[in-house]
Amino acid sequence: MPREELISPDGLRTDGRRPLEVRKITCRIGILPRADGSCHLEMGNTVVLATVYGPRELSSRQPFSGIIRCEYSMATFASTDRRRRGKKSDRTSVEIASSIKKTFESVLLTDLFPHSRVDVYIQVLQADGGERSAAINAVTIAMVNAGIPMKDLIISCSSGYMENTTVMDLNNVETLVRGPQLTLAIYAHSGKVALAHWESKAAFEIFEHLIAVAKEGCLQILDVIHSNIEKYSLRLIASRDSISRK
Amino acid sequence: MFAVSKAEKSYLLEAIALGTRVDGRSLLEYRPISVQVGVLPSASGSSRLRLGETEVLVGVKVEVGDVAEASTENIQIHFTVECSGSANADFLGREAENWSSELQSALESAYQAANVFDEDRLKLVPGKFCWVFNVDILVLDTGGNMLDAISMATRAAFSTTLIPRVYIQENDGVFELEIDDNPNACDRLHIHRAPTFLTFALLGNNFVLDPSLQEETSARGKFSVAVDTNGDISYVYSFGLLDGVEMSKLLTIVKKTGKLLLDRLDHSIENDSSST
Repeated sequence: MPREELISPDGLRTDGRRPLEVRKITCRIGILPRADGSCHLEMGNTVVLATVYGPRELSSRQPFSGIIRCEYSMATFASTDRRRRGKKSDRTSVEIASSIKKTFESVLLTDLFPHSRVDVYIQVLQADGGERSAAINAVTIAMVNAGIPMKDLIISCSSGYMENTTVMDLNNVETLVRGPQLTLAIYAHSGKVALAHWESKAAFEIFEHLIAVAKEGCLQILDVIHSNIEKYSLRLIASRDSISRK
Repeated sequence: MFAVSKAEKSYLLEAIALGTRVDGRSLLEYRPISVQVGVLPSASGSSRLRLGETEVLVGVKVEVGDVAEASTENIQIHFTVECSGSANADFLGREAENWSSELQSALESAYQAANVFDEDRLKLVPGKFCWVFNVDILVLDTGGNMLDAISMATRAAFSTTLIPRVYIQENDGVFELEIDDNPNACDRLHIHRAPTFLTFALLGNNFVLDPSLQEETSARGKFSVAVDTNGDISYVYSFGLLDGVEMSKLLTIVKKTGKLLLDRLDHSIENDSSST
């Protein structure tokens, strides 16, 4: 049986993108009024809602600096085949939650809010590949929205190697092929790696190449996210002016 | 867990005794409702509804399922209510399980009693196969009056649900189902019998429609009715002290308001789906 080809002879991917092109990103910031920070992020058909509460009081008094708690869950209707209920704490979700928690522990200035915690909730509304990246990006924006001090923004993108081509920001079809795939998260300004997730076997050169491609993808995503945050902030400033002038 | 202080509560009650509410509504007024349909491409029907601060997302998935030999049902509807972490944390803590099963059973009974989609049109093979509708409800934000929001969103999601056409072939007692390949060969559901809930909270000696989270927390009693476009009632749920006279008074309000609400909802869904 011939395999469905992922890259057409013209060099286009299944969703019409070129290999080094990220999906369309739209984000809405601050959509849940009761949360301290929230972000609804769409990367192509992957849709993620991240909510941040805090910093708020911690019930136990042990740790001196602030702590982060993170919960990741996927909606029952997120993918095409319906998942059974009660899988909120399945292993992938727990793993993703803990990796996101660790990533953000390194970037939040937790010393500034001792004896308190920040709660992060991530809900995947639609899964079309790259949920981990989308979740990280959404949490970054939600953190900004909540006004929690951070050293830098964390931006994430995935990359993969298939049919002798390196592609960035994989969709679900490309994820299912199980070729070499990398999810990378970098500090936006210093370019340092905050998280790298890789679970396949490949030559060292390919790995190096994938890192470069994922980094390039992160920078593309950063552009979009940065301009979105800027627009949002400018709108906030504008609304403050209109109130104080009255 | 959400709490209301004593001072806040007495302010709330005094205002209601004077016929107004802290958010400026009159006693029998809903908060602004906004609804979007067809928001989830991976579901057969979906909607996102916002009622004041309450926000829910509903996805309906349609599949063919097996039924028990003797049963004659053409349709099974399963509801699951899940609270997204963001809404959960502040609001419920460990009560979440009870809370969601309460909502599930209310919806399930209301839909069963109303016999919503029982039509010959949707018959597959009686006693062998039937349609299964999985209604997955995700609560994004809890701002009071969850039941009304969920039931309206469910109704909206059903109104956009597409059922694929199926051809049935029988070979010596073995049935084969073939689904039409054409993506346009789909049928819509008739939702005129799908109920929506109207919830009143008893505060002091007054009933208020569509209680907010504050009002819900300080309420003495609660009264929920499921009503459809004809004004038929399929489910009543109440707790707290209510006498019979009050109840019949409320039911007349329900009949009038329910129709108005459903007509408006259907109208806005039509507008929304035509514009997208």
